Amino acid sequence: MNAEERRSNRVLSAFILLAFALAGIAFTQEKPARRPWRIKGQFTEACTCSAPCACNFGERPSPYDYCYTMWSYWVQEGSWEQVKLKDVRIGGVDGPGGILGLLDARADQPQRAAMENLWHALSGRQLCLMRLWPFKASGAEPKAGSPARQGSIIRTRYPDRQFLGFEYLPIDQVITERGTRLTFSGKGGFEANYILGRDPSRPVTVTNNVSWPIAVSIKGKTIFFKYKDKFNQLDYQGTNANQGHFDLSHTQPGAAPMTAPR
Amino acid sequence: MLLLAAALRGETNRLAEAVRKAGDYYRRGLHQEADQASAEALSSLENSHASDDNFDDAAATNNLGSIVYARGEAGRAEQLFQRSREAYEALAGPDDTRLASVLYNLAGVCMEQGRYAQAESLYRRSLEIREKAFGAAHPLVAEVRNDVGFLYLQQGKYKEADRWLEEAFRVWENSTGFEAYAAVALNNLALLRRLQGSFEKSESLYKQAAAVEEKVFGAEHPELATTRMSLAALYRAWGKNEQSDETYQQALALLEKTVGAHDPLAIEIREKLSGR
Repeated sequence: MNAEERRSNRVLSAFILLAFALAGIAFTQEKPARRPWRIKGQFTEACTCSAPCACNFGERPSPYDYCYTMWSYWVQEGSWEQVKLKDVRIGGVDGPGGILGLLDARADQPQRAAMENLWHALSGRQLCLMRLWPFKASGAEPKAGSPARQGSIIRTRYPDRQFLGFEYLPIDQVITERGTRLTFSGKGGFEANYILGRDPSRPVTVTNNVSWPIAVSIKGKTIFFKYKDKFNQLDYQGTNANQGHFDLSHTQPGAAPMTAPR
Repeated sequence: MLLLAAALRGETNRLAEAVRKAGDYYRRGLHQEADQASAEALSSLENSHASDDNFDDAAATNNLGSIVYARGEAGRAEQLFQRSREAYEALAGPDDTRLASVLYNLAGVCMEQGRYAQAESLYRRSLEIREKAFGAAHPLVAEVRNDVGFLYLQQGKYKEADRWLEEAFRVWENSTGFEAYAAVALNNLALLRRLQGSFEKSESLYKQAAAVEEKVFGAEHPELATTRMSLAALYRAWGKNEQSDETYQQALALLEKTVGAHDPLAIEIREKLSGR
């Protein structure tokens, strides 16, 4: 190999290295796009608070210091990426034993995967995340430039509410002019009558509800609110209920963060 | 394609299951088993290619980071938090509250490694997201405020530390179920007062913190020993050596009873007592 050839080879090698480096930069900077989804339908929910549920207004639960709920998004039309969703329900129960995702058994396999992803998006899945324990000063005087020391024995903690996974079962969501009914087959559910206002022909409604991503919620009061599985057991009546239309998408997920006071 | 999706889903389930197991073992104090389950989870994570597009993987990766951090592997924890952060950014966008929690974790690792500027930037981003989502008077917002206050305390910025720690304490004090967190802020404020020369105020805050911790954790919990150690250090700085020794002895007795005589904190106390 003569000097000219060696020079050419060096130039070629440099170009190849540069090309790899540029490709590497492009690759590391590329971010996957968010998965497109949109769902429309009817949302039905009830909880253990007295109507109209202070949590819906950004306040603490009342009369108890907790707010356990059962809810379901009846997806009448929608999609998760290429998967079409029609007439399926995405629900759950949040009780003292944790939060269980309850999904419609009538969905096929691709729809089930799509619904699980949607459940996460809708719930604001904060619940499953472990966090470091906040820093507690040890008795030692901090020294400039030295690393901070966690003075607590506790290093990490589980979230305050535990996510229990998913179960598939028949879900029925009935909406009439007078009220709603939600049934998680074999486990329980609730029935609620709408609360009528001064004009007895119309129910009381609330707009911009803090807890749930529905533009207008019709307020209701439960006739019964009963549920039982291996994690949770609930039995109440005369408690708060919400009913409303939803139209949500990956750009407007409307997820109510479930760690907010509820 | 379906087979590939099923395989990826299987890997995700294995990862989530292994992390859940590791967390359960860790919580029960079975550290060897927790380490084994963590190793299994790490192996599963290495085989997973779906983490950038899967909420379960993103959460499991964060949780695995928290567990390995608790076991003392800060470097590994940072890598995992970073991976989880990228996944949430891609999946849920820049204002997601889950992302805020991962940023909070990442900031904590940076703080423990002395990278304060990086930690502060991550905390502030986490705070911005949480304040926007939950409002200023939320316990999760207080959590970030406490750590930023602690960060300023480390840097000798007492005025800023005071403001941030007081705000954190006020929110936690008024939040049901967050008493143990309020005790953390009280401990930080106590050290701040000590460094400012207000020994009596510092003593009162440590005692208040210890009372809260005793109520929350019980009288025989090692967390109480760490507060007693801090109180003993205050007495030492104050020149009250007898009270200091007595308080160190109480802390030592509690540690020996709960976590054993060979715990690093127990060894640290014995060194302090013999050094006088």
